Amino acid sequence: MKPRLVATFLCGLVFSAGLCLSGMTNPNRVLGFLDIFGRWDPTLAFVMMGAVATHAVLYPLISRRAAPLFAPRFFSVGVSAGMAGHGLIYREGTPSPALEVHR
Amino acid sequence: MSASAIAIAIAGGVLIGAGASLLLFFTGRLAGVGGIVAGLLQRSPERGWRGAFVSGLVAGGVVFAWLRPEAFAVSQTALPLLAVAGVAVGFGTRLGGGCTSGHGICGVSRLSTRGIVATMTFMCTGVLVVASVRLVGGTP
Repeated sequence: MKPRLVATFLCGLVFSAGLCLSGMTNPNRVLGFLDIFGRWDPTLAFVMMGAVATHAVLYPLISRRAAPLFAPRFFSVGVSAGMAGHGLIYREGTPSPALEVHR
Repeated sequence: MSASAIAIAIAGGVLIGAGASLLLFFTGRLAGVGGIVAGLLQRSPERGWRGAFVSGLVAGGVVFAWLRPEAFAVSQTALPLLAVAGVAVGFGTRLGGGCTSGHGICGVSRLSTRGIVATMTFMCTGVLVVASVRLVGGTP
């Protein structure tokens, strides 16, 4: 078993544990968040806060590295205001050097 | 909402953010679950890590369903409707180039305008749809 794949599997496991713990595996909880004129369930807002705060702190620290641990470069979309216009048609995951994280 | 329910929701969110951050640290990839699952259908060298990540997601769900089945409590009659809704969400997230994790978590936390616009769009649309269903007398 390649260490890279084991590590990636663990990422999925941690992500999934978060979804399960916060109750986001139940579609009714998500629906409840959207039901602001009915029985509003704010849970999703707190889940988003926790996730966004964590990633907002860790993302700059990680992307400051020259490369990820098991890949030659970062492939993820960087901070770029100019890409907003493409929002509706641009496809994430398209391999392109232009999408490298530059910080 | 009780303080403990809020704490649990935030803790779950922290785990989600940590999972996304670990994926970036290990593979340099963005944790957009919709895109990763869609990528599994394509023949590419990327299939390996995508498969590993999705296996981790599913494994976590299986373990949790065994520990706490009520976290997955959905009425059986709702299943066909959920399947249709799932297809619609899948189609929409590919069209929009991201889902709740890709745009909503990774995009927003990087202050990506695209991610913020997409997240506000799908959240507002969701609220409007639920409100419309209520307006015509349905129960969302």
